[in-house]
Amino acid sequence: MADSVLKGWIGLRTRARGFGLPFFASPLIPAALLGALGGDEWIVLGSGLGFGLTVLAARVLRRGQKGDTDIAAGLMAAATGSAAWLAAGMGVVFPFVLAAGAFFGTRMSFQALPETAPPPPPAPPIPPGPIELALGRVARLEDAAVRLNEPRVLGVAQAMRGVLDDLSERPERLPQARRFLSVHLDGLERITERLEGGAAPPERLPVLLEDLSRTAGELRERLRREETQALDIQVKVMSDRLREEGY
Amino acid sequence: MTPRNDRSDPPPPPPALYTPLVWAGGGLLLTVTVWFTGMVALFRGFGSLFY
Repeated sequence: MADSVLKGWIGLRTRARGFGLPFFASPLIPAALLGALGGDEWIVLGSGLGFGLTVLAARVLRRGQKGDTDIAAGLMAAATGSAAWLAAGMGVVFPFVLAAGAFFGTRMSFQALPETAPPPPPAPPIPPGPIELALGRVARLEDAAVRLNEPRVLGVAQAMRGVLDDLSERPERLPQARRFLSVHLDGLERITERLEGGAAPPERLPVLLEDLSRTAGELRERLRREETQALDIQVKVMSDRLREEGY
Repeated sequence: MTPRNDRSDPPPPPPALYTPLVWAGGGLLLTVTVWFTGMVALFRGFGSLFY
């Protein structure tokens, strides 16, 4: 019986946790107003600090996570100490005594109230995959081609983007295009860097760029053909099975 | 037989029956310290109007 009454009481206090703290510090509000009217800025400062830190302690208590009672007790100690020192003019030693009293008073007032575990830290962002990295590099190549006014480089970059778009839809085909990504993309990046550095395009460059564009197109075609073949096999297997089962 | 679950934390002990007395003591301590400080500051603020 006594246990269930205590449990109910704890539930009630847990729901209202922290709301009462500003009440204890409420005389500091008229003290600040009177201090302002009387032109004593120390009273205003001490009262403001005291009441502000008390409201902060109440906020921390409302959160109700593990360790929050100790943080709130520390904030209440700071609030009481600063108000006693600045606003109440109690010298240097006495504010520490009052701060210690406020610390232990807060801890005792919220003893046995349940505290939840703090939320887990957010999961680290997933690192971008090879296709996303390659798409970023192609975007930089396209920008560089626009800056250089090189429509042929832009054409190759767009052809590569087409390959990467296909791979994004079918990432299981990535191993077949890994060589293309490493060799062709690296090569085109180096060429673009040289062109941006002011190099004059050699005579063979248009042929090479055309080859790169063509290779990208062929790779897309090959990937599509393999996909079609895989579908053909799937259809054949399904038809055979239906026939075997007599449908 | 109830299966054992060794991985879960043991349940916290039930609160002591004298817990409300501790709360009352904490409230008293807060009154004596925070409320008292506020009242002294209030009197000083009132006094600042005249001095």
